[in-house]
Amino acid sequence: MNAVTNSAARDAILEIDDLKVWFANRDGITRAVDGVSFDLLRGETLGIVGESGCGKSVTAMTMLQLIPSPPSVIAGGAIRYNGADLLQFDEARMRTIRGNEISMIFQDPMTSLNPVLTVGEQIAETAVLHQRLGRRPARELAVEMLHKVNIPEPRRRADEYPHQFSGGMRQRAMIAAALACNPKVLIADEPTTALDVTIQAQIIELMLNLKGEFGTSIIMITHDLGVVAETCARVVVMYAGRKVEEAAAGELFSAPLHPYTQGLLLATPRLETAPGTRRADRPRLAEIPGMVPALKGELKGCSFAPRCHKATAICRESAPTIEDRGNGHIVSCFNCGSA
Amino acid sequence: MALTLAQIESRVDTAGRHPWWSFLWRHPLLVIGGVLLVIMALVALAAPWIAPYSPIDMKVMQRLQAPSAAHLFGTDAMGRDVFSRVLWGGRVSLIVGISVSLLATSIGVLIGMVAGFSRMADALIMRVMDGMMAIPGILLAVALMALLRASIETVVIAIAVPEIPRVVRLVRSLVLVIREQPYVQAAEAIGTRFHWILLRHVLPNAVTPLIVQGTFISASAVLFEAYLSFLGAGTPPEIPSWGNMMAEGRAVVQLAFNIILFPGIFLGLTVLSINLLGDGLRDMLDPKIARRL
Repeated sequence: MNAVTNSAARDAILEIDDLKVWFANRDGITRAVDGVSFDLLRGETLGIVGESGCGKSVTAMTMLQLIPSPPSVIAGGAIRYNGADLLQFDEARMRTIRGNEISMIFQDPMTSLNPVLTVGEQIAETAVLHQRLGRRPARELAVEMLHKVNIPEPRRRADEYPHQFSGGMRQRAMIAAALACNPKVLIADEPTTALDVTIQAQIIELMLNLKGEFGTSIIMITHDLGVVAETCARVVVMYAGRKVEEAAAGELFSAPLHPYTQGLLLATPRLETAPGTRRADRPRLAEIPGMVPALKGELKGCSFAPRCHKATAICRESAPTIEDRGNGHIVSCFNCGSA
Repeated sequence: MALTLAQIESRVDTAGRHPWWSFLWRHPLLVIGGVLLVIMALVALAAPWIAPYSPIDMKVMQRLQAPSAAHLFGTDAMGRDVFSRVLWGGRVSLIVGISVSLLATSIGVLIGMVAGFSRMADALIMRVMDGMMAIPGILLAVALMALLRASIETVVIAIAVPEIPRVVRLVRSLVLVIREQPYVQAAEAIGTRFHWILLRHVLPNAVTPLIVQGTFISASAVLFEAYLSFLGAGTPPEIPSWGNMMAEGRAVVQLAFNIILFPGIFLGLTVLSINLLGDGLRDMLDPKIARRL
């Protein structure tokens, strides 16, 4: 019934357990991530969705300990990779994990590559670092990786600089660099946000193909529900630093329980309107009223209560616990009823 | 209105020109400054072979002569050939200009990097640098010369020290920007070591402004050497330098102004050429700034 026994049975490669990442400054404490738990299974693609500032990226960066501390404080919880708690690792040991076991690709391909190094050098860097490859074999690997991410003429392209690549090609190069050491886990932090839709589709297809080839588990962080629907087996919905719902992707889209998830889905534009419908006749997209609360200080009650149409007195008083409603459909809400 | 191919070509201002011409057209300052500086440097380097007389031989019978065919720039109060001394003096300026900018830049880069990466060190270093910048450079250099025995090396050190704070400030501000760039974070995310990030990711991205700054430092170093020597606190008097010559010529300027005039012209031209080169380099290497100005 509870999550811990489940994860052991389900062969989790990465377990996030009650993670709390706070930012302390003069004005007080910002609870960017406040008690988030989820598991990443071997070979799975897990989506993390939520609007800007809900703690998605902070969660991801904490997994690799890439957030400078101070100001960040890990106030509690554990991140277990193959059973070992990454939060207990020192910097030197963390470096053997980064890029080698767990890799990350960032949102903005335009600035994530160093403008003064060739693309090939940057892809080879991972292999030089972790596998102690020499210059030549590392370069060969870089060419091979560029080929795998469908860059034409990889041998010539490896010697070019990032400004000679288009946005989509740079994101491919980033993926090539991230996968060069064949990591077990790939964290993709909004990998397609900066790209146009056509390129988005190509990048997603590429990631799924490579996942099949390398057997990598992927954490897909995004605010695009379309990307989630295409790629993820399971989805975690975050709001204001907390997990509000987790379910298999199909179930989440067909039967969302949490009012926030329902709101998100209603706010997604669809192409299903009959052709020829005039703009004025189309139904207006539903929006979620209100704003994300400031995460300063301790939030009393459910963080979504101020914007929730189902909120009752208890929602403002105490925070709802995480409940499993069967089939691994987890929700944190007092008023969702049973599925 | 459709343009023919020929019309379009005619609008491209470099079309049909030799590549050298188009380079000159786009970077006139760089080319003029560079050519002038190369001439100055060649003349200084070739001084032992092209100088007609020894720069230190005194011929008392021929003192204070006006410029003539035998002595192009005349002779000074001790009968030394001014032209030969000007050529030899260029060597001092050349050595000082290059070594000061190398020394100040490399020390400044080291200190600036530390300041940019460590908040603790930053507070301390930047206060010391503020303190150094509060002292006028020439005073600091004179004070340093008073502490050290006069030689070319000590002149280089005395001029380089007051230049260091400016480099530190520049490097620190560059590091603060570059270390927040996503590619630095991406490098961290693949497990790159700190010193490797510095060498491969931060330093190469800071090189362009450093080259430009280094050029301007070397222009100011040439001037500073002349100031110091003019004040008698610089290059030792037995070595001919433009500043020394002007200092010696000062006493007899009403009799023979050529002793001050010619080293002055060479000094001015050299500093001008380095500054033009620096401006040109900045325009070429950093088109964004160039367009804004």
